[in-house]
Amino acid sequence: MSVSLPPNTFPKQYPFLTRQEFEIAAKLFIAQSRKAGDTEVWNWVEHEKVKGFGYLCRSSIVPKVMDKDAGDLEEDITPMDDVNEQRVEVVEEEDPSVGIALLDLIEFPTLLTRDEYLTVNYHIIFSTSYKVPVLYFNVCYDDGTPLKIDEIYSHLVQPLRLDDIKTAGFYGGISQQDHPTLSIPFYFLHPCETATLMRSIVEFNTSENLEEERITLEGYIRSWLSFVGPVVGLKVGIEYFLEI
Amino acid sequence: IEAPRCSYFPLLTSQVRKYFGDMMLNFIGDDADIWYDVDGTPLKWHYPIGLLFDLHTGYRPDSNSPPPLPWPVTVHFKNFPAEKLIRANAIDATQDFFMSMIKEADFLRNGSTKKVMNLSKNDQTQLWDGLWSKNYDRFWSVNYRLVINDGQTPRHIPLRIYLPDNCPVIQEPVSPVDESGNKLTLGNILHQVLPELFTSPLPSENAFAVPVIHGVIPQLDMPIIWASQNLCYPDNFLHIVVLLGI
Repeated sequence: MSVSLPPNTFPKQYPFLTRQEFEIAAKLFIAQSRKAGDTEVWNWVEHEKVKGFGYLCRSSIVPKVMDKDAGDLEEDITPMDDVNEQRVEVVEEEDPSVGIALLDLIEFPTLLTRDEYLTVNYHIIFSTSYKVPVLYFNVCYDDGTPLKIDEIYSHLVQPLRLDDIKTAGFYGGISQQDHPTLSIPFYFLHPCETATLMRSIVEFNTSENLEEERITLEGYIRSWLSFVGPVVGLKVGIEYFLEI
Repeated sequence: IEAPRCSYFPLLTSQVRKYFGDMMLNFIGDDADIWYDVDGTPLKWHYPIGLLFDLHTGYRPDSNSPPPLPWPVTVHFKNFPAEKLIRANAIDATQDFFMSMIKEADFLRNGSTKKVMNLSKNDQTQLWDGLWSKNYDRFWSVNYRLVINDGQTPRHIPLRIYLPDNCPVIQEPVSPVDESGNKLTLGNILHQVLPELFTSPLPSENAFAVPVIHGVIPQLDMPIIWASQNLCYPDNFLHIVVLLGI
């Protein structure tokens, strides 16, 4: 569905959105993500029966943040040793071309193994109370086991932001809540600081050649997400911001 | 067990554990692993008990049959359904949820959470303590200030509407007055939010849909402000279950 808006349409009660404005902004964001060539696509999903509960979602593979504790580092080393031992056996017994492929792995130890990725489902929903988008997410290990809150702090939250997020509580911390459309538990980032955040962003308006102290509907989601997303492993590439 | 409508299931857990403990069936694990279900449906522990009853039984107070009491609830000590129920860390999680509802209600009424955040630590504790210890005066000494809102007309009424068949919860911001400042009634609000179910703000003889609050069908002509101040749950929200069918 294409949405045509006059350029520089602003949310009527910036930084707050109405549900209709959220839907428009969401569809524009999807168009930006397609243009940006993102392989992990954002989709718009509606409730199967009821209108007005639509949300954005995307499934991502995200590298696991490794714990800094010495204990964990030891755990990381051991599997590689096992692989080395196996590799030697295979080279001696099997097809030498297989050995060559495995040697590549030895050359590049920075390649992550399968259990060092997480699968994250990111949902962007609209909060009718706070009138802003909210980032909901659920995370699983490679084998499908969901992460609990402690594991989310250890393996998903970016280490530099960890202390902030853990102590933020109501002001931007992570909690669980029922997804407003699906009614199942999701983790989410508290939205009550979002309005303050959006008020502090300044965007340069190229057609009017001035600095605007508010974001257009078109730019709203990508700007908001580029601030809140990285905390939980979600980055918004520069391509989203390029005029094409 | 006699459970207060305004309480929460995790607040009953210690009583439940003691009951089984007295029968020499001691549960070693964490309170957080205990969960409740009715007819195979896990009960959302962060919903007030009265709301869960109205929602799950679908009992029409205007019907001729008596209410389905006692309500048979199954308690589980293992296999916590983490994909369906929010992880509970027993009492702390219930208190956190409760406080976040109070803050959300404040935000809806006033456009900010200043009022709640400016309550002294002592007052904030009083709210929760009053609730779980069933001390009405203690609870209301603080809650009164939140609910009366210094006599200021709230911007929006904290309200949640529950429809049957796993419908998403409806939480639209509703103003308690119209453009001319006239007080809106409960009927006005229901008609505004669910016009197909409430075709008019006025009560009708064979209404297809009825609202239920605290197990009672309220009069549609009550001002929504009055309903919010007097019929809200301890979390400051009006939780309205809508039942369908004659």
